[in-house]
Order: sequence, then C-alpha cells, then structure tokens
Amino acid sequence: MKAAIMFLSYVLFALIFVNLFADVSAPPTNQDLPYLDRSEIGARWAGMAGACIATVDDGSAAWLNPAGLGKIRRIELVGTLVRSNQDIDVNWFGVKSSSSVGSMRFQNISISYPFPTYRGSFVLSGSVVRTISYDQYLNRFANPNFHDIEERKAVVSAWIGAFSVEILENTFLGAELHGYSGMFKSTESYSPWSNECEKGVFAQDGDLSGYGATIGMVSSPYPLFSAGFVVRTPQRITFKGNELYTETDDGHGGCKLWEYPTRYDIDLPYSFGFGMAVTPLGFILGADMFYTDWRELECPLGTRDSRGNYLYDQTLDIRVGVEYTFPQIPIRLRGGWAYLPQALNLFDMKKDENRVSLGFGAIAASSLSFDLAWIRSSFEREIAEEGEPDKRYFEKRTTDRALFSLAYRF
Amino acid sequence: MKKILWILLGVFSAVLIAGCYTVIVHPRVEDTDGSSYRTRYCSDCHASADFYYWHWPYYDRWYWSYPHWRSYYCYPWWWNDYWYWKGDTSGPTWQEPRYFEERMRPATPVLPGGSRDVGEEKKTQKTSPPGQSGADEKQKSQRPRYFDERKRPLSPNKPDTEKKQSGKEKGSEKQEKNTEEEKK
Repeated sequence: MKAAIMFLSYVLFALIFVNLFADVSAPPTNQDLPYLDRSEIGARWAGMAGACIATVDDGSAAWLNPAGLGKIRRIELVGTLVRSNQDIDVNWFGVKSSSSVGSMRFQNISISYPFPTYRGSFVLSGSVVRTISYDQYLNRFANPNFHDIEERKAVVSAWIGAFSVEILENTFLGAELHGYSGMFKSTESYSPWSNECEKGVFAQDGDLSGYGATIGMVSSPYPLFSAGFVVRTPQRITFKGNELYTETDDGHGGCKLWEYPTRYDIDLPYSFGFGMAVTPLGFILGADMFYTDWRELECPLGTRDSRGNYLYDQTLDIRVGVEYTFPQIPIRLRGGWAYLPQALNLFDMKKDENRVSLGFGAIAASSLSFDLAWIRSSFEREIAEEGEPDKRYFEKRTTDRALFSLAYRF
Repeated sequence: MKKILWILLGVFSAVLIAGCYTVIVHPRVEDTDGSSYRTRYCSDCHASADFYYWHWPYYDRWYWSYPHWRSYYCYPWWWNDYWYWKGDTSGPTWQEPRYFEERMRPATPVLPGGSRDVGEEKKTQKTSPPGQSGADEKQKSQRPRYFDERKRPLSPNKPDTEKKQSGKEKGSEKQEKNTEEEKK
C-alpha cells in the first residue's frame, strides 16, 4: 500500500512538473515593468536578504514558501510596515539630474491557525501581502525648457489563502492561491521634438486585478539541515483603466489630448526557488536561488526589440543570510546579501544589483515578537552608442528600505 | 487556466497523500471499564505513544535551546490547558503569564550537538521512589520515555489515588532519609 502511494505521488509530481515546463510563448516590451520587482517580505526575512525558503516559519510564509506555515505551533497574527526611498541619478547627453521618491506602506498582514493534531501539522493562513510596491520618479533632464519626466506608481496586493501539511516527519507541503488587487499609474511627460505641441504626455491610470498560485515544500532530513523549494505559477495581472496621450494633428492646429479606455493582460512567467539552511547552535545560515525566465513574459507592449531579440532575460537571484540568536537575552541579529540580475536587458549593466541587509529581532512576554530590518539595493546601468559618447545614457539607482514587523502568538 | 487546474489537482492530491502522516482527528474511544474517567494520555492506549503524541521536529529542538523563544515556537497552543491546570478541581488559569517554566513539558528533547538537558529541574522531581517492585520496574521500562516525566494533573473526576499514593511515597522517602540521619 505504502509503495503504491509513493508510486502515485511520484507520477503525480512528474505530471505537474512536465506541465510546468510545457509551452509558454512570448511577445515583447521596452519598459521597466514594475511587475519585475522582487522585494523581500517580512522584516525578519528581509534582514536575511530574503534567504528564507528553507527556514521561513511565520505568517510571511504564505507568500514566501507556504510549506513553512506548517512550523507554526500557535495562532499567529503578524503585520509589517515598510518605508522605502529611491534615489535615481541620471547622466544623459552630458546633463546630470537626480530624483528621489519615498513612500510608507503596510506590507503584509497575516493570520495563521494551526489545527490541533495528534501527529504532524496542519496550518491554515489568510494574508494580504503587498507583493508589488513600486514608486519611481525619474527626471532625465533637469531643465525647465526641455524635460523628460517619468512618474510611475504601482501597488499590488495579493489576497492569499494558504495551507501547509506535514506529509512525512519533518517534511511539509504547502500551497497558496491568491487574487490580486491594486492600482497602476504611469505618466511620462516630455518636451516633444515637434513644435506643434508644447507638452507631450503618455499616461496610464487604472486598476489591477489578477490571480496566481504557489506550491512549496520544506524538509529537514537531519537535525542541522533543511532544504525547500517553491514553484510559483504564472501570474495573470489585468490592467483596466484609461490611457491618455498627445497627438499632433498636422494642418488642423496643434495638439490634441486623447483618452480612451484600455484593458490588457500581463502574464508573469513561472518562477522556481530552491533554498537550503544549516542551523548549528545559535545560527541559522540560509542560501536561496530563485530562477525566472523572463523571456516567457507575456505583455501587449511587447517583449522583443525591432530585431526580434528578447528584451527580457533569464534571472537567477542568489540570496545568502545569517541569523544569530543570543542564548541568554531575547535578541537575535541578522544580516544578508543578495545578487539580483536585471531582467530587462535593454541596458548594459555597469554594476549588477546587489542588496545588503541588517536586521534585529526581540521578543517580549514570550508571545510578542518584533523585527526591524534595513536593506539597501543599488545598481548602475547605461546605454552607450558606439562612437557617440555624447549620447551615452547612464543611470544609478539606490533604494533603501526599512521594515518593521510585529507578531503576536496567542 | 488549464495549468492552474493542474496545480490545484496536484495540491489536492498532495493533501490526500499528506493524510498518511498528519492525524487531525482521533477515533472516538468508548470507555471500557465503565468509569467516568476519560483517559487523556495517548500512552494509556497506545504502546508507542510517540506515534500519536507530539514528536520533536528538528526546528523545535533548535528553538528549545533558547528559553526566551521556546514558548513562542515550541508549544502548540492546544497544550495550554495542560500547562495551566491548577490542582484537581480548579480550571485552567489563563491569566498566568506564558513563561516557559510554568509549562511543564512532558519530555526533554535531545539537543543537537550534545545531551545537555534543559528541563533538569523537572527531571529531578521525577525520580522514581525507592522500593518499587521488579514488576513495576519492568513495566516502567516498557513505557514511553515521557510517561514518567509527565506532570499534568489528574482529571477532576478521577479519584485522586495516584497523587495521594505518590504523596505517600514522597513522605516515606523523607521518613527513610530522616531515619538514616538519625542512625548517623
């Protein structure tokens, strides 16, 4: 009987994985889509630079690795706030400009309920997670007579229902289903080359909706070692709103502003994550890899350039984190480093995106824990025309984020 | 959409398979001796209570090493009535703070990297009284390791014989010590 069940489970997982890698085709874009954002969720895991697939064991697991929910023993309520600030320095045609934008938002709120069990573990969780919290203000020319300002804001919340079950001793399987809701607003205003219009505008403003799912597993085959994986299905995001743009009406007197309703779908591709952790006394050392083939992105704006090359590439994120728990005082410290290649390959990367993080956690009255984390990410990129150094476009982005999580276990 | 259905099918099947290990509902057990006492110890019915009782996942063992985090991570919430029960007649006392010392963990886990026992004090309370018969010793050796370490009080409806007996035994132990001292 046991052998039959094992055989059936192997067949089942084989079918799932064959289906995962089945056809996904791709059309193109020339934009820095906010949907490519890969932010860390939860202050504790942000403090470890997001290296948590094998170790996550709180409500954030609903999004990060649902299998980790199975480790929760007490009813838990957790919430996170995030403050972010992004600085962008640009040098274009020899003109330098700097832009800065900041925001403060809640990142997640989650409640997890572990069912009483005689053996094993079964945990249900409901969460709202801001999976995309994107603010950008980019002024490429700091010049009143000639400007190119790009302002973009995207806030997407995933409403998650998740569960985790212990399927073997120390092995958990979890899954989550989520629906998206949010908004997207983008305004690009520029000085048009034509004299017909004083101001050029292209703007989008509307609501986002969508859905997706994640399955995950985590296992501790030995006391000091655990490993886990995550498979994130394609995420469908639908934009429904208005587009507005200027159009030169030659011969009939100047410019017109056109506004019309728009609806389009964006399909984010599969993502696969794998993580390991070793836990010698006092330490949690975690390392994650996360693979996404952005060439499979489907977007009506297009994902290929005029020569048919992909504008988006594969990415393999690498995250490493460490946490130390003090034995005598209720405090733990953590730090991490992450390497995240850019998905958009329209630019030449001068310096790939690196993230460094620091974190701190404490507990009060054995039931209330809080965590603080600071994480800085930066990268540099450029577009250099051969033989025309004056047309060089250079951009440096630095983002600082501070996260604060509060969790209560009843 | 088709792929999502595949995933859902996979998850659903995985949950079915998962039922092989996780046990949520215990089968209803009728009392066989007609007494009003309802057993709450798994080991009263199961030779291997480890099977039906809480096991020690590795991460629990890890957190167990850190007293400040022990209660937060290791104790299931449905154990509260075990830990707050005061005496034979009073109900659970939820007002008490959730300090780990007040929760009498039935077993001491084996810590990774050594055999340092965290619940040393409790262990000393659980030393078997002298003068036990050989049959009792044999029976004891067959019990799960935490059977004798468990400190949860008895059910209010059960005659308090066991406790009284243990009290007597403790008393006799004291008497023996006193007589030894007098002899000296």
